[in-house]
Amino acid sequence: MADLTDILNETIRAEIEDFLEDPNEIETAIELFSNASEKMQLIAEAVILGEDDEVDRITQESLEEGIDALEVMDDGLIAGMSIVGIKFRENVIFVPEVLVCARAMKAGMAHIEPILSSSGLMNKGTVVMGTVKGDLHDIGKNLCIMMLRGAGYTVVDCGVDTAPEEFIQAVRDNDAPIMGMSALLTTTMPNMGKTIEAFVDEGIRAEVRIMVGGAPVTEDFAESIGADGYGKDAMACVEVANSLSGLVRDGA
Amino acid sequence: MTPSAEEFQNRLDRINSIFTSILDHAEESSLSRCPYRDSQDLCTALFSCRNQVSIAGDSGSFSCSHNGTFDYRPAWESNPKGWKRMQEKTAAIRDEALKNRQSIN
Repeated sequence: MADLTDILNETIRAEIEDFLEDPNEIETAIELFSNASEKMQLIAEAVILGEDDEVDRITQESLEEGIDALEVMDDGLIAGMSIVGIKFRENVIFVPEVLVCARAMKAGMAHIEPILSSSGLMNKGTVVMGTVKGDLHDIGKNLCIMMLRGAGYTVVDCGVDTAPEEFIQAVRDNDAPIMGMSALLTTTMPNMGKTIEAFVDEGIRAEVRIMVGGAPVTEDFAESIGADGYGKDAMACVEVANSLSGLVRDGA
Repeated sequence: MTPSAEEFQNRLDRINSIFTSILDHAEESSLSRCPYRDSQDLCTALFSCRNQVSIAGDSGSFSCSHNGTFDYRPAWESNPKGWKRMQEKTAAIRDEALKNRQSIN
């Protein structure tokens, strides 16, 4: 049986020692990381620390050296994110840190995606996401993005305070069949309607399925502004995107 | 050799499972702790909040003063009475857009 000292990477050793409490999780982590190469441990370390540049660099380097994509995922990216998930569950880190780590993992996944596509696994499509004009709340949107990426979507993040023309530009530039808008304020919710009207005026409303969400947003409101879908939370966001992408495929 | 689609799908399912657990915990913890508050108790929000307290000597950062004993969300939600105003504004936007389109046609 492997021992904590068998793990070469000091940061990972300390993470396991300091933050993992469940004996089964400790044993699994020790087994996994003690068998992982030094490079994979470095990827996992960078994911845990939320260092997207490092994840990007080492993942690219590893794949160029011929390291198997599954090994990069198993021993680097997913292994690192598992530790992040445990630390979050144990309240060692919180949502802002988790989102930074998820972004770091995404930097590595960007190099995996072309290999993933060549395996025949169908890309689920591109979703443009943003918080509407006048609204600076981004946690809900960012959690949706994390879930969408985890579910296999390519996501273009327009950020916060997104004007209708920015949404239109992003949809056009990325040929995105789905767009998601978020609003956290009743004062900015009308801008969801304004954005949809802008798509109509541009003559591209029929080419994109639009979903909306955010704490004050309701299904009735979504319907009243002519949105195609409404998600009450980040989990529902993926379900709505799945259903909308099904409609896009079916040409409905 | 390129791994199979099934092998990749298996990994994506694992990532999805990690994220789903994260989301579940985020929802639970957001009832007592603002999701914008990080592990250093700093506020990461891009907007103003009544719970923000300036950190001496650091003009750009705020700590979060919310103590978890009350619902922090009214601090950054707009007045619930604004709902009616919102509906009126949304209807006005729709009407104006329709009118503009009719005048073009």
